[in-house]
Amino acid sequence: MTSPLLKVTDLHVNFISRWPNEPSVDVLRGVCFELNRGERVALVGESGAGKSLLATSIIQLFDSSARIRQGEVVFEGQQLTQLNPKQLRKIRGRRIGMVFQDPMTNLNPSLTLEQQLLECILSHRRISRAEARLVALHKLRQVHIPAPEARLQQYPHQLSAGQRQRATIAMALALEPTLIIADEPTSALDVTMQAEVMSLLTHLCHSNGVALLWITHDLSLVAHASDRCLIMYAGQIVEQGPTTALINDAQHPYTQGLIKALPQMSKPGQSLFQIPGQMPVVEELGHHCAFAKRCEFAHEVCWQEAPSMPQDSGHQASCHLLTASQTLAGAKP
Amino acid sequence: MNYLPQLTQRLLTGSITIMLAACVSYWILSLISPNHAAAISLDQYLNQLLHGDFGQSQFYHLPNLDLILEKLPATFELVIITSLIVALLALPLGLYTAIEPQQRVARAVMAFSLLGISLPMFLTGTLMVYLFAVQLNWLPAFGRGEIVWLGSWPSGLFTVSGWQHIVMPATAVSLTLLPLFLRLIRAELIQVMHSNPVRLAQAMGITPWRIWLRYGLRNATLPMITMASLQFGTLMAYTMVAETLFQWPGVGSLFMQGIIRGDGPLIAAYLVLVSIMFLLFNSLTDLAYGLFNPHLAPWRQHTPFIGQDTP
Amino acid sequence: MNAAKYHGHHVWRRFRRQQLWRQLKANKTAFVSALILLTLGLLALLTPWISPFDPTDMQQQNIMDAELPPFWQLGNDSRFLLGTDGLGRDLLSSILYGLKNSLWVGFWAVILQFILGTSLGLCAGYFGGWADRLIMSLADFQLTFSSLMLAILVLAITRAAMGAHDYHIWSPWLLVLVLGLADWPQYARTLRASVLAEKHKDYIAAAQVLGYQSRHIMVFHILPNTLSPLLVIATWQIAHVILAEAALSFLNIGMPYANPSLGGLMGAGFEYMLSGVWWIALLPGLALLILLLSINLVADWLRDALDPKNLGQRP
Repeated sequence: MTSPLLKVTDLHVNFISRWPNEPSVDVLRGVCFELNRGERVALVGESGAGKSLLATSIIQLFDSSARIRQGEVVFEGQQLTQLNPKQLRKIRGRRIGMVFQDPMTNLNPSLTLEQQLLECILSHRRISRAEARLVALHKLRQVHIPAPEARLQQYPHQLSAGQRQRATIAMALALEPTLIIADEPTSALDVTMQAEVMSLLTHLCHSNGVALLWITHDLSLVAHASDRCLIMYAGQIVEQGPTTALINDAQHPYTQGLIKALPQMSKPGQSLFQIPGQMPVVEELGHHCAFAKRCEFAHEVCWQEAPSMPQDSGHQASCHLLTASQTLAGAKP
Repeated sequence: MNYLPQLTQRLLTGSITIMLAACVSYWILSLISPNHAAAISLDQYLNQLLHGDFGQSQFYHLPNLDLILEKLPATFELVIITSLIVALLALPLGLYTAIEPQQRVARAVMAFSLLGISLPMFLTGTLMVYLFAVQLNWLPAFGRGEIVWLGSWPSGLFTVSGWQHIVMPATAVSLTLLPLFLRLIRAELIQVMHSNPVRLAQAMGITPWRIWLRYGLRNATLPMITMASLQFGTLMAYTMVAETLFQWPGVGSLFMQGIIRGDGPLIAAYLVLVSIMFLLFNSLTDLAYGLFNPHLAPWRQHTPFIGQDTP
Repeated sequence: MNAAKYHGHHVWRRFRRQQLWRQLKANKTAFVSALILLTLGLLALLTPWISPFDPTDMQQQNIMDAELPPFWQLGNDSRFLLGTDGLGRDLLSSILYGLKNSLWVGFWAVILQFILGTSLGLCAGYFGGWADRLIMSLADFQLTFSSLMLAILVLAITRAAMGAHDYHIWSPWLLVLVLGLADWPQYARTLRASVLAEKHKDYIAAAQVLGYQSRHIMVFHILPNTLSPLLVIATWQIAHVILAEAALSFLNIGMPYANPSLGGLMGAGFEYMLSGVWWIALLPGLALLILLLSINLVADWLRDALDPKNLGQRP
């Protein structure tokens, strides 16, 4: 079996507190998953679960006082956590591309598309400006932006929202990376645009053999477009597995709740299902199952120790009830 | 672009402003030297101004315009050198303290800028005179030094003694503005570095230097122009104090002497000329804005910047 | 007025939530500066009683005592701890009186600025339209010229018009008036921006529907929510006004020489400094520096402490 493209092991990320006496609490708590070449993986979770933090942790793009306390991130055989900033920079953009949520606030408003694309390309490749321009044009065509020569001279505010996001996708693909991390790329778009951009991104990744880590809060969005699915809750991955298997036969109570909560899953006239309660804040987390408070199947053991994390790439969930199935006749996780 | 309507509007408001300033200066003339004002009516006064006649000084018995123009180069050079010092120091220091805030030198610079805001310009000036002129005798305490005539412009920047004389006044005044610009540049850079476009640029692996220059400094330029235009009045005020302290023969000290002697015509002429000067400067900054005209709205919040028009 | 007490109570509650005292104790620099400031303020208040001499009293001055050095230099007189100036006045007393005068001018000018700037800013923001345009163009005009420049021009011309003697009788009040009028735009602009932001919020619409008068809404509903930045500006402005007063006195268009001011002492002492008599110019300068530095440090701390982003965080 070939080694995975990206392997994250026991990742713990915390924030350095501004008050010296306050102990810092982990926000990402032991995240483990793998990603293979060309695979499309969806990372699903509520806001606050730590999805974006996980994405930025992989390329170590912390903008506040977050840091990796413990754990490994191995990409293409390299330990990313042990690289110095210069080496990291070589990987960012070139080997791992990123697409962020809101293209309007992410593109530099005072640079034209050409300037931004060329800056990105020329930072990594020693080619002439003219060649880089050809690459940029090629990528813009790939994302189906009409009249790319004209578009290159335009500023971001002169493009429509959909075109802007396509432009950022073009930027991410420009250097032909092996992995693209897309952090809620369609959340800032309206519904019609969402479908288009989504199919574009997944199609491009598929045809170019680029692995895709798609972060979203909407499970229904990625049901058809991903090979595997990771469900994230309170800084941990509580269930992971092939998407169809996960949706058809969810193991973790949280995943089951998420699926039940999808509007498509409720009958007309029936009130929509909601998982009661809210995700625990950082201070409430401890050595117990983070979902216990909201779980309808919670037992004593759930409050006493944390369930084991899924380790390999089969269909696994972290729930006590799975491991103790013989003692809980009739309970159904 | 169609500048014409804007231009005519500017000229119109400008002329009205100067007209108002002239009327005010006439009124002030009547307060200080009533007999001079009695000898001439308002419309005669305005008429004279339109023809370039700014009256005659009561004390010197010479045309005011000549007196002021004679002293103007000195003030002008002082202002230029001061601005140069501020610009040449604030940019690199602001950049440095934003990039490496934890380094000892950066922290020292920040502490110094905090001190600089509390240091009155005349205290620094006095200390400098005491230290460098009285005790060490390295630099002269007053005057302008030797001057060289460039056509009809007397310049002190081409002689060693000229530079010896301008160093202390220019440094003293620049030290009042330097902390402000330093903090402004630093704050702008830090704000930019936390913005989304910079995050994307970092995710693309662009080198930090390019990011600092292309994203950082570029976006700091507009607030710098704004700050500069707001500080112009303060710069003028402190130049006046410096001229008094260092006995620098410029228009500021001419004005102060006129005040002490109660020289009404001179003061009135000075006021009109100062208004014209401010108007010109404002137009210049508006022009600079127009040149830049970047689309910076998305990542700028217009929180009032404390310390905006200060010493 | 029940409404006033109710709202006042709420403002107080919100103020307390910010736990200013704890934050002050946590920040050592700010704490020390606040202590120094308090000490200086106390000294200024108690000056008439604790000052060894009265520098405004001509009877106490003897020209024979002029230019005596401070206690650590040779040739000093033990009566005058920090030496004497050119007229034979005790420098320590002059500095104390100068402190008092500076703080007096600073205090009253800032109160004037605050009231003026707040009222105008509230009106401009709340009523909008021509009032807004008028007030803002006036503010822009003043900001272009800068308060110090305007103060210099106005006071210098007043001095020239009144003559030195008469001017110095009126100058303390003129200083307060001019410096108060010169710096109101900062408050007005900040407040206007806040008011414009708050005006569209639902609680204002609710108050209007309930029939509250505009004036009431402005003062009791909008103002408490916008007070924090204004307080910071006010603190910082005290330093600014004191600095301006010192500069004006240095130029001889501020406080009269008979009623000492820190800036005035520096101005008068400059000549003496050139011949080696340094204490008349530099010791008041040091006092001024300490005063300004402590005010600025406290103002900086206050700005960080009142930052709404810090609300609710444990210090």
